[in-house]
Amino acid sequence: MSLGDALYEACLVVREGGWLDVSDLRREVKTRHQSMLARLEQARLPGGLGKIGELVEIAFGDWTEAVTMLGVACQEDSPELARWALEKSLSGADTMRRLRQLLEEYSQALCEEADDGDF
Amino acid sequence: MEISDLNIGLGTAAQGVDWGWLQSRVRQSRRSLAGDQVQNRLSELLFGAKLNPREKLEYRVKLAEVLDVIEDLDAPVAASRSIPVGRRLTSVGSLNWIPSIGKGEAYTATPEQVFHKRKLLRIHDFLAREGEVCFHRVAVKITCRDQVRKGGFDQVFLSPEGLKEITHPTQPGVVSLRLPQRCLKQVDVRRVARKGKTRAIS
Repeated sequence: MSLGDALYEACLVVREGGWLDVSDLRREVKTRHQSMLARLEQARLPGGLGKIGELVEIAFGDWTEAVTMLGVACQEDSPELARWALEKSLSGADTMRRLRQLLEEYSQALCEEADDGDF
Repeated sequence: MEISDLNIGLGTAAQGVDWGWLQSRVRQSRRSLAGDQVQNRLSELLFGAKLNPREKLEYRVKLAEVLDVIEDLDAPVAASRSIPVGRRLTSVGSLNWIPSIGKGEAYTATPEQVFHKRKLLRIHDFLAREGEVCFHRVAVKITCRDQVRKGGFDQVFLSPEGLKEITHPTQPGVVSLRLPQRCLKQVDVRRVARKGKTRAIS
């Protein structure tokens, strides 16, 4: 199960009145966030692709908030709060999905140009 | 919808929770904004940049690297240690409905039934839809080490629909109640504090 899916499932569990230990998820989000930022930094992206980092930050920001809200929902025994966590989790997944989709399109376009002998 | 619309008693929430922060985060849900930002910024990259062949080659390589990084997000996450609602709910003994719903009849339900009924019985919805709410104070008794202890009270709000549903003749009656987690913690604390004593907690 991917990170986005795991967050989504966790939100559903809490929304339905279940309980979970969010520390694993919190650690997972933090670790992957840091790892991703480090790898993007290592990649030394050209200036035009610098915005990718910002978008990754937005997605992970939403996921981090989702985990925090989930923690509050469990701590306060308020399954109703899990719906907001769900919103945030979906928001993060949505940002990441669209980022990936657009990068793939861009990459595909460049590949086609290369195949056409443009560069 | 504002978080206050949920009517979950935020004013009486436990200490240590920054409700202002939570509320502000909910208000500025960035779901659509983030989507637009992705679209706009990537569109700038796609259509706005004029790259020479060398730059295009570099972009192609770097994009492949970034896509690899993003794909790693699909690496499996260890399953969370979750406790589904069925196992989390605790049966705490009999309930006394005040005022009585029926004529001296005991009402029973599984904890899940009570939980889902209460989920259905969203106070806000009922106020808006029905304009009327039936309120019941429920006395909770806890059986612990063969002793019956008073576990305090809980409030149950029932709409006429909810009342009808919960007292449906073909449904089993209510015998148990889902206690909020903080009550369970309190019960634990009491048990520790009263360890060795034989008298019930009043």
